[in-house]
Amino acid sequence: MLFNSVNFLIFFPIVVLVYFLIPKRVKYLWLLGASYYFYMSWNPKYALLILISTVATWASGLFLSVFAQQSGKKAKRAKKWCLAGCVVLNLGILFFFKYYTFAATSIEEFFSLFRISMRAPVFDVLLPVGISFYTFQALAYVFDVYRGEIPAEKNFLRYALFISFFPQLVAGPIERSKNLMRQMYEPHTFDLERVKDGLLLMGWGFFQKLVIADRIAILVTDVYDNFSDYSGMQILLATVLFAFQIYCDFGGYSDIAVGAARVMGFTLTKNFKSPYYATTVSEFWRGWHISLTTWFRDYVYIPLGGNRCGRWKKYRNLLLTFAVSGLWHGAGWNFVAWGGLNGIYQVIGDLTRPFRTGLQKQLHIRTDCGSYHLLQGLTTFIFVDFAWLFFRSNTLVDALQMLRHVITHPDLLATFDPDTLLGINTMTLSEKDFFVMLVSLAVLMLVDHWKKQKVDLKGKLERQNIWFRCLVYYGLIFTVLIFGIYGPEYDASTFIYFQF
Amino acid sequence: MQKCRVTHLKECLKWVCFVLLFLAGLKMAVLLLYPSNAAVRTWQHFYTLKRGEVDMLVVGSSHAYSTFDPSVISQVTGMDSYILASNSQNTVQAYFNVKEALHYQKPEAIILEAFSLDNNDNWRYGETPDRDWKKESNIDGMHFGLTKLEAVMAQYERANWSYALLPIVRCHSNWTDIVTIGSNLAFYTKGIREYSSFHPSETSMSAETAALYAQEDYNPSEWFISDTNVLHFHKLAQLCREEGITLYVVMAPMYDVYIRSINYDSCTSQIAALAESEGVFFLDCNQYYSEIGLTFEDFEDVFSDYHHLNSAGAEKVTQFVLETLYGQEKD
Repeated sequence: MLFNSVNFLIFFPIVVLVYFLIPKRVKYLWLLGASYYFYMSWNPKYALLILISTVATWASGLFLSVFAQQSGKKAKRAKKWCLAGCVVLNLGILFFFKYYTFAATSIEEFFSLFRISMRAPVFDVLLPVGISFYTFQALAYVFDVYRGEIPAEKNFLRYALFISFFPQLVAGPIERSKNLMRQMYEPHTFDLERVKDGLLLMGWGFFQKLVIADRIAILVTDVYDNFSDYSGMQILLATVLFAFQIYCDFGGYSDIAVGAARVMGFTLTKNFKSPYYATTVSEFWRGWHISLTTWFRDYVYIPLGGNRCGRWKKYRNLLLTFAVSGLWHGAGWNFVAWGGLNGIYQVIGDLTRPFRTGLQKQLHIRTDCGSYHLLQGLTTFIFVDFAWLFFRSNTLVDALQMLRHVITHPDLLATFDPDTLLGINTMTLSEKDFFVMLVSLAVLMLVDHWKKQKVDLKGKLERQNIWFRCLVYYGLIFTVLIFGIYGPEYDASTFIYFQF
Repeated sequence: MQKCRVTHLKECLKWVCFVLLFLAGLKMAVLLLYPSNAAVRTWQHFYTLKRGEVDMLVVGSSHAYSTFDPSVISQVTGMDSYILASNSQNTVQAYFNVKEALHYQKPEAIILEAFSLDNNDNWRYGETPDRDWKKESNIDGMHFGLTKLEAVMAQYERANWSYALLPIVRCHSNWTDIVTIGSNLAFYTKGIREYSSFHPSETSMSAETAALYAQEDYNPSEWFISDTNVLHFHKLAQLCREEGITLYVVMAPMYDVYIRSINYDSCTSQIAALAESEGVFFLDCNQYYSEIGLTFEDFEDVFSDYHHLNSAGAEKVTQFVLETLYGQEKD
């Protein structure tokens, strides 16, 4: 069930209403049932996988806590084996469903370079929705129990709810048990202010997804699927727009997820913090998909040694972490390239920092003014956006061909069209749609700017007169309803991150 | 305690107002953005009629709304009538239309145009997918209520129920279509009262062109009376009996060169048997060309195309049908 489907608009109010009406002791059971129903609406068979992952990690948690109470080498070894078994099982499932075909094809292609013909068995399996997200959430729980940072959860059903909690089940935020599990025990009573907050956040999420992301998707999909029909400048424009598409797609999903959870009294991790206002690539990553970035930091980067093991090892850890992060996003070399590029940016940034600081001093460049931050922001955006080109391309080869096409066919004039109102060739988007997209992007960036400045938007809104508040609420609702891209004829572009 | 209750009440009132205003806004958005079509207009005009204003109701497909002229019905019988017909309306839709109409009107008689028994699962001019706009627009016109819910559940796959019930989902993208918005505005500001549910057609083809439709290239399929149509015909007949309404089944005339090329006789015999099983009078106008005064030598004088009558033909047929039905009743 997609968040942007009518079914969800029926499902969610029913779940919330019943949730607040039923006795406290059965609330979590209701949510568990609702979450499984939500997940099974894609494909009932998928539920088996999530159940296997849930049982395995829950049981491992219990075993680990038992071994932790015992002393001696045997207990330590058993603990390690238990952890390894659990990790292998979970990553094995993930590998089979997500990476098997990619790995098999890559191996076949590698051997074909030496004229060795190899045929790996083919399995016709569909990628279960959200498998990377819940697998990582479940593994984080096991790691935390292993490290003794949290106690093992004894109630299986509560734990099953922690793994399958429907607002964040299929595309995060990837919650830590320290945050979410605790909330499974809290009494969540109806709180009008909180419900209002949650609904407003959901509305903002729908705006990002339906009005901006899916509108941009029309243009970007066509350009990327038929890039040879477009000029280099048009491809670059599409790539710039894709940066906003993926932000609004995933940021929108996260806001709907966080908002939906808040309506029911749960607080989920904030997943984005104005990423496109970042002035360095590492700052971008501190504001982009925060729950995943921190996951990789805590469970990959730091265990590898983090930044406390010498400069070159630090760079190795950084590159490795980002390459794995790229692979997590998708089974393709283009994703590895995307992750790798982001790692390289940070390594180069770190390596050149003394040189850049020296240059700034020599040239008397002021670093405490808006123009400097603007330039930094733009440079960061260009780097990040360049990497998005690899992310969005269908394959690594496509990405490289597209880059060649950009260089060989720049055709600046093709971007402009004097016959249109805006003077821009809007490609597959109608002029009106393009205009709506530009206005919406301006609103998005304004809101992000206020967020960056830590302006309490909700507080400000609450202090306004009722007519103004209503204007904002109705404005948001009707903008989504009328200008949103949805409906039966529309091929519901699922949230981009669902495929991960 | 008292203060707390008042605060809660105020808060509840605010929410109720918010939701009501939202629903009003939504309704307005749909009214403006919904693409104009005759089925929705026919319903909108129907709901503006005073209760008890309609003595006779006509349901069915385009054959019904291009054949039955309310002014002639009024002249012949003195009855006020309304044509609640729509494009390709089948008997399933006709049944739910009557059911909905009976919440507002208490007609003495209902005419079901018999062609509606045919065009259900095998609409002749192409496939009829679950989300056919003709079916959709007929349902969109209905007020939201149990009958509408029942109609949707009976005619749509479960996956499409939500789309069928929420026209905003289908029409929201018309914000770019200034013509639709303008025509809707014009209709609601001045046209709604003057709307006529009778749509006389203008002659659009010659007898020679009409005859082409009897040829294989033009006429690939046979008529077929589906089980769902039969089922809903029985339901309609029962509903009429329960409400004390006389039901008539009338087959409007079509160009005879065309109907001779299809399995017309076997279909009409089936319809006649169906009608007889429910004790309903069936009149097949195609058997009475000379009595009606239809001349194929002067095709353009009475026909619009091979399937429909023009306004002159409609006048003749309406007069003949009403005189026959009421003459038959007197007999």
